[in-house]
Amino acid sequence: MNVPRGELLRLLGWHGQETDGALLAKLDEAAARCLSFARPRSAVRRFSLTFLPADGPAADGGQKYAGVALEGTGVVLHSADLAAHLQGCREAYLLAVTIGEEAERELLRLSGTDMNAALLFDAAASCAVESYADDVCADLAEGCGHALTARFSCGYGDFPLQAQRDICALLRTDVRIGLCCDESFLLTPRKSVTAVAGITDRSRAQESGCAHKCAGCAKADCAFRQREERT
Amino acid sequence: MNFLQWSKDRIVVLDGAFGTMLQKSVKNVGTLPEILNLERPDAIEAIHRAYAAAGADVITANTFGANEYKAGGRKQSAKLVHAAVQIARRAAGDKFVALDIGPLGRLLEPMGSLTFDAAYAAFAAMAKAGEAAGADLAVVETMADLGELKAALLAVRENTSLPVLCSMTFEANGRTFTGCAAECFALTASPLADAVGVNCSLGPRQLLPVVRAILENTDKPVLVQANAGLPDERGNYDVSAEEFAAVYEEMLAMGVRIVGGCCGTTPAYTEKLRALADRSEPAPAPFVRRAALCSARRFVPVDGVRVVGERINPTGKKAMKQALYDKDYGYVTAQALEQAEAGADILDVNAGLPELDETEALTALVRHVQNVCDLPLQIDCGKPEAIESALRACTGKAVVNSVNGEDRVLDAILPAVKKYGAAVVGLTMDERGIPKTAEERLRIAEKIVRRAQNFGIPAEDVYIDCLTLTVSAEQEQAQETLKAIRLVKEALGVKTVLGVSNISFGLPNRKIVNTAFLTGALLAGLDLPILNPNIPENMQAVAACNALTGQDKNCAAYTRKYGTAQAEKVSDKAGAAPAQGEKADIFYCIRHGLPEAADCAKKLLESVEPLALIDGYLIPALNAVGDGYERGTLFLPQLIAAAESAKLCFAAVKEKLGGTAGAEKGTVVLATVQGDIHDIGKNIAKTVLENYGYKVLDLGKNVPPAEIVRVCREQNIRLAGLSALMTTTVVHMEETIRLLRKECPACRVMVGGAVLNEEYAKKIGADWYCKDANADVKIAQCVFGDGPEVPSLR
Repeated sequence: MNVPRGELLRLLGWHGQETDGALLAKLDEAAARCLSFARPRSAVRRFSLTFLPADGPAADGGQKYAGVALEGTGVVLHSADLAAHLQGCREAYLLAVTIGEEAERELLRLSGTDMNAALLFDAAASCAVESYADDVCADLAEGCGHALTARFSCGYGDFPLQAQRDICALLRTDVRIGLCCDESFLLTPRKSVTAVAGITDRSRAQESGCAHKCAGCAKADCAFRQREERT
Repeated sequence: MNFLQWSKDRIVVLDGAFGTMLQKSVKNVGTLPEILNLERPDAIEAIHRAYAAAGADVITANTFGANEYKAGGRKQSAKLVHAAVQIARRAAGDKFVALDIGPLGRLLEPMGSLTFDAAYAAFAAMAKAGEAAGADLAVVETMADLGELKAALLAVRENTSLPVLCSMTFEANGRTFTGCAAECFALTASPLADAVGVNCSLGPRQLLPVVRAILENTDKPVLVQANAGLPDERGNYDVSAEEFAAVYEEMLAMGVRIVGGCCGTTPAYTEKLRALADRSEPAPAPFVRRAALCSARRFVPVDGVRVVGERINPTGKKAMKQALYDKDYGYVTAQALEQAEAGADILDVNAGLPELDETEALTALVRHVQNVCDLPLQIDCGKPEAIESALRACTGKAVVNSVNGEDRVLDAILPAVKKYGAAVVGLTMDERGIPKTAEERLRIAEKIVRRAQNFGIPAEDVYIDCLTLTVSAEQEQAQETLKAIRLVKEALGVKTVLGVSNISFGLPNRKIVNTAFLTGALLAGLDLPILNPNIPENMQAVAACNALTGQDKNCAAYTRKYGTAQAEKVSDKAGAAPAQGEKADIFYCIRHGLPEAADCAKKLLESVEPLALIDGYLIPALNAVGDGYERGTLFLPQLIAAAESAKLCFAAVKEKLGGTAGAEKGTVVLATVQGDIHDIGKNIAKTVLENYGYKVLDLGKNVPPAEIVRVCREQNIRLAGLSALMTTTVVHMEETIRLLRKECPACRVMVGGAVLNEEYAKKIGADWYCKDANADVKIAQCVFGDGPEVPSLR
């Protein structure tokens, strides 16, 4: 888990503006502070997938799916985009990660004393949880010997936020890692991620670079959209 | 048979893991295992029977997650609980049946949106259903949040007559996910539960330090339900039943009284525990009662001088008074953090103001302060109802200030102190007033301690206040107070508390007298001085006395703090060198977000009128920064840094104007809407708006529509700003706007948040969409007539 300065700047809306030493020092301080308060925890389960056919063919003429069922649970993740993303995978990992409540508490404290520090800390915490989720996926890939698809989270494409409730329940995130899903289907503590990562039949050695995280998102005018070339 | 009577002199064996067993016998467990109480009662009953046959004294019904939040409604919750208890009863034979209560799966405020009262209601419904279905006791378990645990314990106690055991789940660092320490848990939960302990998360060996910490801090039986070690990838656990029982043997020797298993354990483990219990006698626990207070995360033993910070009290403090009337809890929490930084160990909270509902205000103070600050609290209030409400809201062990020697007062306040396991301050006065002699004060102290003990409050939890009188009015009384402290310490051995600064009332240079009196009192045996920790002389006197009395071993703390005279000089702002070069230019300083901007402002104020400084320097500087942000030559952190340094300049202006705001241009209400706890955007908007001289009423996050509307209506608000992160919470934004239109037609609404855009904002009926932190300033300027028209969406 780390907080890359480039990612931090991107989340803060940086587009090449002139920065000075003082600001960069503050960024580094926020990153270090965030990492010192982060208590990363994860919950993971591996599931066999059943693809649920949708009506009509896909745009390319192939089979179109409406979602995937997680075997042995009775739970269906309704999302054509998720199904397309997982196409070709027989199994997938369901994962939930959080950097915990202490970082959240520190953010609350900073919000009352130093708004700029709070802003930077908030962005750093977002970077940290993303980076930690990447680490967890890398470990899973290592452990299973296969490449994983990119993480796909609720809110991407047509994968509804509502599915977050089922994911948290299946992983028992409340008692295992202290992560809850509230009545608006948002995660608490806030700096947390749930996702599905498909297990491909490619070995890790064959793994080619996958698309950047924002590639699957239709919100092209998003201020935080990751450019094709990563900073 | 009564569980508490039965279990009094024996080792009790609880059953083991349920989920682990269920996975083996049922294929599709799904997201709510409790639904199987209706669909597969046979499978549930078989598991119970296996544990009963293995020798468990208590069979835990399959109700862990059967609360209304996980089950999908209160009716369904009651149905699942009822079915579960009946199944367990069928399988249990002559064993006890426990209602199992796990966490609700929602985080409580401030980390989540669930209120304490809503959590309480959910637990109460479950407890009532469990008792009605025939449960013998309740087990509250796997809790991570002390606030949620407290809600559950109160719900069981206040709505049923069931005995209640409780346990939290700890990580290897001895804390729960929410940072709650084992000592704090023991101190807070013991008064409300019949047994306290730990379950889940780790194997028994790893739990030993946590178990010891709990044993040392509770007068209740201690329970342990460990996991069978840690799971591997396939969910197999690594501690065998034999190893498991061997560690439990150590625990029984330490004084543990109730044993069982959690994840990964099976009836084979229960058999071993049964055999162990049958050949063991209850061992004495290492508990020694001592004076201590705590929050959820900080344990504060009163085993030396502990400073009580007095600043959160409106008496004689204009700004605090205003903050309480305005419900400006940002000001209050800043005071809390400042005192914590200055070295306070405990924070006094007081909301005693005429025309203010003290129960509501004091409870809100408790909640807001403990949200940002880990220090234990002193509930400073004399009204029983307000005290009870504040103690209920307080997550930890607080001290109530105060009772006195009057029977009427003792009888009214001590029951709540006892119920919540708080400590209490006893003032050495009664209906006849403050006695003139130390001996008479001692007699009242004796009475208070005795009466407290009659209520079941131990002497360790009674702190005596020998009362400070004003030396300029009653000169001989200063010595009587010091004498009374000595007498009380010698005769009763209890802790003493004293508000110090009253001594110098009416005298010049009060600090001098305060420090001398404080020193005298500390040397006489004062444990808990109530003072302003932000005054260095106060903390210096405390540090010096700790060195002189040997409490500060080898004067180490004193040397650490005051060893480098240099360190103090640096922090002395008055002695700072004047800013030079670029840093002398206020425009440069604000543009670069430098704190030196304040020095520039102070310098300018020598020659420029305060309001001219605002209009001629600060606003133009902020405008330049705002323009740069809009053009994209600056980005958000630079905008906010500039705003923060301008804030320091405004503070200098305010100071010059004698504390009055002077230049407030209009009031804006800001809130993150109901269901949403993402407030960084709203906080940024607040920072920027305040800098342009607007007063911001920040209602916080997760604010119900009715509350926003109430404030807007009552205060004739002309501009409200609403924030929401996701589509799931924008619905509440829409509802808020609809209500505002109806009840406050003059109030205009700007909205912002991640998923919003102009089109979406228009659709939900907003006047303006704020694309960034600068847009709201332009809108405010438009609304309050300080700037050009901003085209409205309506």
